[in-house]
Amino acid sequence: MRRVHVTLLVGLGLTGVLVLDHVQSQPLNPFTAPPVLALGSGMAPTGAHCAAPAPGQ
Amino acid sequence: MLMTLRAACVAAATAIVPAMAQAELGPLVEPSDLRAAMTTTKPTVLDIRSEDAYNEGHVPGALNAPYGLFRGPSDNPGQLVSVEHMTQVLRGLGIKADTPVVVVHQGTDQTDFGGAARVYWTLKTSGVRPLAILNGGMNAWTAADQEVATGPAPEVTPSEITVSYSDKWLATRQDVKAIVDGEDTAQLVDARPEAFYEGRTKHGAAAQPGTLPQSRYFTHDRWFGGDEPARINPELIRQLASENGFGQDDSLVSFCNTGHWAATNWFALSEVAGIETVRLYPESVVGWSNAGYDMANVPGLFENLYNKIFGRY
Amino acid sequence: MSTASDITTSEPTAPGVMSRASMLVCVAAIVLVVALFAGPRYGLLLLIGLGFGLALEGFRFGFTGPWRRMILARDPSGLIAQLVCIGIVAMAAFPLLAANGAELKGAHAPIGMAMIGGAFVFGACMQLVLGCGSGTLINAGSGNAVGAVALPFFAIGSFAGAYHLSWWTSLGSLPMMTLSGTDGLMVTLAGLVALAGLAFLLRAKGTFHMPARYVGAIVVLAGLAILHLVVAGQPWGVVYGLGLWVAKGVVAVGGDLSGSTFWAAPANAAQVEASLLTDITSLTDLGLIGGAALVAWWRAGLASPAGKLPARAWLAVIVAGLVLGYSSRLAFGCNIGAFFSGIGTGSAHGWVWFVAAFAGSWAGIRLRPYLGLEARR
Repeated sequence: MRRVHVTLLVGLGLTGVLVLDHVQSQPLNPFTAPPVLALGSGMAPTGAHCAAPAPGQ
Repeated sequence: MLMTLRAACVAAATAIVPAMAQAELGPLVEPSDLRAAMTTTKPTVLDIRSEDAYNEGHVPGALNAPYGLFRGPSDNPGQLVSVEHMTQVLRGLGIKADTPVVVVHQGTDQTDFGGAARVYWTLKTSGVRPLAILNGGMNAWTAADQEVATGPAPEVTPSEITVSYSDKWLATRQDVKAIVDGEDTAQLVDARPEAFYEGRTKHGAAAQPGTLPQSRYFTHDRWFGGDEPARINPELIRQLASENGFGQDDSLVSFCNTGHWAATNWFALSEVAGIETVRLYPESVVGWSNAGYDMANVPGLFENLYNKIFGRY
Repeated sequence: MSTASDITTSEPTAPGVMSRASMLVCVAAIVLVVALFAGPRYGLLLLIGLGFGLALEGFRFGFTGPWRRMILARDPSGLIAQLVCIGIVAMAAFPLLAANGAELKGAHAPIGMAMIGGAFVFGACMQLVLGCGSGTLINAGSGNAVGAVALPFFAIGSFAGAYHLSWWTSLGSLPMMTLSGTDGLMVTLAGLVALAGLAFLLRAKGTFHMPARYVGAIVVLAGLAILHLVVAGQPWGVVYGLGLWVAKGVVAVGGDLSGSTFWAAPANAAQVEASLLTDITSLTDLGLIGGAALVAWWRAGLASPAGKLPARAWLAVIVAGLVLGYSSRLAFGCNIGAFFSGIGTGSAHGWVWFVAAFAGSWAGIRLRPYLGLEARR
């Protein structure tokens, strides 16, 4: 077992995750994608982050 | 000589309101005529501006019915409100089917007029008549040195009206789909500026840029003269209509992003130019695109990426 | 009868120019596809993630290793480099956040009992797996078997930790404490200088060195982190994305997430249903793994054998991966989310995280020999 095999397995696993996600999640709509930069967009940040406080706090 | 002059005036009056010989209140009313009508026909004056604007000063005896009352949810602002909601609103305003109503907007610009046109269309579709829009809105009213009242709205006795929507001026999503699929013939008219029609920009709530298939565009602000962006000149409208291929026997459907600008086009073509079969598609492109139906002039992936990067929408 | 051509060379050969060029074209194509179908912001975030991966693996810069070297050999170099990097990020992030509070947010979280406990446990497991949040991704991408095995369990742990998060925070947490503005920046920089100074004073003779690759790493990572904040509207994070992948898997097999305050919250529930390519942390995580793999391949490092460990050690790796994921959620972030981004964007919890995790790292290093992860000292 060499490192290249490990990397390929990891890559295969991630590809599987992406394919399954594509099948079951809402379709992508490039027309409603957010602006390139959050800075200057005038929109509130909507991303999720580990350091964000738990909901309900 | 006086007889022919009077006959000409009557002919002009009945030309403005084709089928409604009973109505003295045309689709448009000037401030002075409204002042006169307030003692004779006593119309219900509906001020569609915000509560703050209303409180600062309104036409004496006017009721406040902010524009939002006639609009749909934020993900589909053009959606026609339910008959139940409309019934409640009109009952609360004391409006019956035969109550003369004059719609008053601020009068700032062409887009502001669209709000008055949309409310006019909603009331007409709900069966209320006669209807009129104060030409030039509050700005024209105050410029004509007419009396401005402040303070709370007058008391109204709720009416017993039950609203049902007429389909004479209403094009539903199914109607438009029938036209696009070729099962029905009508000309779809896009009231938006060219950039929207060509798919170079889009409304925030629309699922994709572009326009309805087989449509033509006639931007809503073209009905107004250059020097008076807030006033309607009926003669100009009739002239533009005939110059731009809008025939008296045409079947037209007016649309835009959320049925606001489209209401201006509908008003000009149906009420002023007198074309019989003009319908409004209230939810327009925002509703259509989110329903996932085919559209024209939709940019490709690369063009969309370019548009996104350069902030076109 | 063997000929010279049968003998495999012991020196792995780096990929040739054509291979390298083709690989770069492939990577560019993937980024373009993401930008075309998901949106330019998401393509850019994937590219930023790739940059993080390239920098961390390319400059051989991490978080776990330097802490280990500080604890075992009293070599403060890597730790000081981390603190300098955070300082640079802070110098840009504080003014940006102060001026654009409506569009940008920091990595702010409340300090609490579970948060401190989680950070301590994270610090310990980080040393067991020899990989933290970013480190595990880098290791997995560059072909390290320990990292690759730990990664899925890290993700499961992250999902579970988020699932139970509201219970843990109910054990007791303080109101949110953040540093902001010029005063906050001054306090942050002073604290970083104090920590670096302390590490420097505690060093063993002759250990301190700041090689060019550390300087490169500091500059590139800080630059990318600031760009990340500007593009995404929030700082760099790692663990949320991993837990999200498991949450999607749970939903895919018919599981119900409505029992969890965290996963049922509107924002998180929406992200579970939306495409993975629209989640900020997921994109940078994928980029991290890809960037590390790319560097390892570029340098012909992928040809070397993957690690061999006794069975007991693999079990420890699996458990440590689960615990890493779980504890990082309780701690409101891993080394990136809480330490790097937390301190860099003015969250008090980042400082507490560092102290607790560093103490945990000390404990974890002591534990390693008993788990068969290294020879007893």
